[in-house]
Amino acid sequence: MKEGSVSSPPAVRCSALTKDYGSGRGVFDLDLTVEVGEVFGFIGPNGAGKTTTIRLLMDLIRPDRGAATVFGLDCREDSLAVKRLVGYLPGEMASFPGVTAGYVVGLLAGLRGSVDMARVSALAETLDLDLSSRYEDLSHGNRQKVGLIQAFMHHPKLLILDEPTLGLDPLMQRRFRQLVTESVEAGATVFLSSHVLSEVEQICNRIALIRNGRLVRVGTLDELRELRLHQVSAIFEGSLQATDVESLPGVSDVRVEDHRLTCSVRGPVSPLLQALVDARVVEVDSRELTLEEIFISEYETAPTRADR
Amino acid sequence: MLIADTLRARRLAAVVWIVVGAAFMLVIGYGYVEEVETYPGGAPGIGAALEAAAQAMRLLRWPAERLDTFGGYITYHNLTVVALALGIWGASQGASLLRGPKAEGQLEYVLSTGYGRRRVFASRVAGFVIILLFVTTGIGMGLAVATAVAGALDLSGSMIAMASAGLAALACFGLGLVTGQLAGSARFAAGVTSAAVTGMYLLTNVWEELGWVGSLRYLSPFYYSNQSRVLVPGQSLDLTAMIVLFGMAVGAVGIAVWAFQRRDLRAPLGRLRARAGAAPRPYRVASRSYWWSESSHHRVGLVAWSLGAALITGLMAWLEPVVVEVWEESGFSEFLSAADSGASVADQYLSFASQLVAAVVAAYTISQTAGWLAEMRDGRVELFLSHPISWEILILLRLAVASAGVLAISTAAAVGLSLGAAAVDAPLNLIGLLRTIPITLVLGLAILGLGAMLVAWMPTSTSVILLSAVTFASYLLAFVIPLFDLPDWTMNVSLFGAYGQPYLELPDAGGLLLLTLLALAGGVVAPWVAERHPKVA
Repeated sequence: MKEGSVSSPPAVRCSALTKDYGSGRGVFDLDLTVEVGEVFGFIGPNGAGKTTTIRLLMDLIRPDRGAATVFGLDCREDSLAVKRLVGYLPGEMASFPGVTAGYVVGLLAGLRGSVDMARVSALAETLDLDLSSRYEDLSHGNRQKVGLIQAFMHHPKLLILDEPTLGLDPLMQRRFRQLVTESVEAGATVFLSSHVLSEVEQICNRIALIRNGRLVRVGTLDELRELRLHQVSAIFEGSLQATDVESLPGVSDVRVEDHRLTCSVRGPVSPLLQALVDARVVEVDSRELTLEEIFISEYETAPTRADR
Repeated sequence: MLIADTLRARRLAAVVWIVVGAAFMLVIGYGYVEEVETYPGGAPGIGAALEAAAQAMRLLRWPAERLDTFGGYITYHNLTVVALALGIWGASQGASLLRGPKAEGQLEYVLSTGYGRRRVFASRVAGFVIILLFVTTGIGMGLAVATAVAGALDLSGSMIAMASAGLAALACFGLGLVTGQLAGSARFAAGVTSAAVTGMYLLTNVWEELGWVGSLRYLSPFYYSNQSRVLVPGQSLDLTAMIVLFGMAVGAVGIAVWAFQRRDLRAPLGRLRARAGAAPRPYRVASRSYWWSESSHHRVGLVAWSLGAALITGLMAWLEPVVVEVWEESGFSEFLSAADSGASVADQYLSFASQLVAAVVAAYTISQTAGWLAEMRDGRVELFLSHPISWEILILLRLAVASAGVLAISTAAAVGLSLGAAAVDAPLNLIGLLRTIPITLVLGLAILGLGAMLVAWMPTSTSVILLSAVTFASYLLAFVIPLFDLPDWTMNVSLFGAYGQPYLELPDAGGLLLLTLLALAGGVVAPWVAERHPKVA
């Protein structure tokens, strides 16, 4: 991650940003900062408020309260200046009847102005997209490539990408990640939404979780990794009581059956390992839970809309 | 289930059809009664004068019989036009019923549930037939009330007359269905079918003048719907013609279902495949301006609109010697609205012919407004505005593209009129003709401005329906003002009244001001309103 200078404003800042659609839908009191050079993952289940937040940043919808800035520019008052700095991929690509993919990109390049068309051709080659294809005939994944080309074509300072890998095959997902890496190396900041946590885990420095329009948690990958659990199973020859294991720090979900132990460990594993050595351990297997499994557990335990 | 879905999707359109259609019948009915009471010579006098006028309108409305009776007049003036409008609506509905991203996106889901193609087709068609039945019955009721207003309620005659128009619309719907299975896109199919339907209507009206080409009338649904002119004294139901119309519709639907069962989803029947081993075409991506992209993308449609306008004004001018002779013989020219202007009868006729471009421009501008709505609905506005372009600029670009279209249509209409007049050596007022072009542009801009404001305020199909209703009400207003002897200034409230007769004279300053204000409001108020609404559907 590249650190922004102390005096430079953050790439994105939301302060008490609220868009209330009624019946608990929308986003509420969102406070969020994305520093320059970060790859920021905005994750949450369907309907959590990811797209609403992105549309507020793009001034496509207006907040009921609060404000958002991009590089210190107000998303509403300085909308055009913001859009000059931003490459945006919508959550769902628009329909363009009767034209080619190249026409769509050309039209959007014309609207933006000063786009290097050699860059467009290079992006099309990277993403393996035939620009002469009829846009209507393109698969969902290929339309997504058109969206990615128009988002990356002008070397934006900030990329706002709503579910960017939707419909892309694994090879194209890898190429997308390369594009993000290249852009960040060139000084760009990336704000992407996703509900595919493994993808976010691969490319993001920092992650925010949103649920029912409210931020549940924000942190770096390392901070979130502290939440990580190890699933431990062991076979031992001596004696070991479940209650003894449960009393160890960070250990939970303990099951002891016929010289077999299974449990979860959060934090240091040495107390558990010492207990296993004392019980003449024969075999130990440990698996770290992925972020995805952790977040699912977070979502399952977080209060629902009805609980609030 | 699918029948209900088809009905639900068209319920608003059906209500608008019924309300506007019934109002059209009633207003014209009242107008006729009023006119008969005040006209020198009463009904026979008005009939004689109208027959001369009908000659001038022959391309647009025919046949004209017993115009000295309410039944004859309403058949000539209203039923012909209603049959055409229903026919075009039916054709465009047929073309898009099972084609296009929206319809075929739904089809993908429906077919995956185990519904067979034949069943889906039957349900969708049945849904439209029910809607058409509602519409024709509703307008028929309005027509029946109009006959009562005129002094002789004729419920069965009204219903039979509308049934005949409805069957013609059903045949056009069948044609649209067939074209929809064969054409590359629903939009193209709708355009081609609507143009074909309009062409058949015009041909039916003037077939006697067209030599061997006139025999093509047997392919026209309007030829058969004209046979059952039951409201005209002395005429009766032509069951054979009705059966032919029904047969046309059934035949077309049969061909369409055959094609629908064989074509790929999201592709026409007989789509061309790329040649095996053919080298890919070299493609060079280039930056495009919105103005140029939109203009060039819709060039085929614009050419069709322009050719249509040129054809109508050209044919009207070509009929000039025949009409002027009838007008002069009957003394009808004394009753023309511009009789006091000192213009010759020929000038007055050519002025009338040139005014028809206003109707074409109105239809064109409404279609452009519907296109703006589609930009929002299909997500293009969201994508456009994610680039550094403001609502103001986007709306101004849209207005510029549409204005270029209006200019092309009005120029083509002027050229068509010139060619038609030259073919029969009709005297042409060149200054007047040139004047029609900028004034028509102002009219177009006014409707576009109104459309831009409505779409900005209500980004749903209601805005287009409302614009169509306002435009039609404007036409009706211009028609009834002279009938009810309303003050002259009221003419300027109507878009078409304000447009006036630019071939003969500059429009009234008040009218021109109204049109200009509407045009300017489109460029100023519409962005202001749109800026305060979400940019996503």
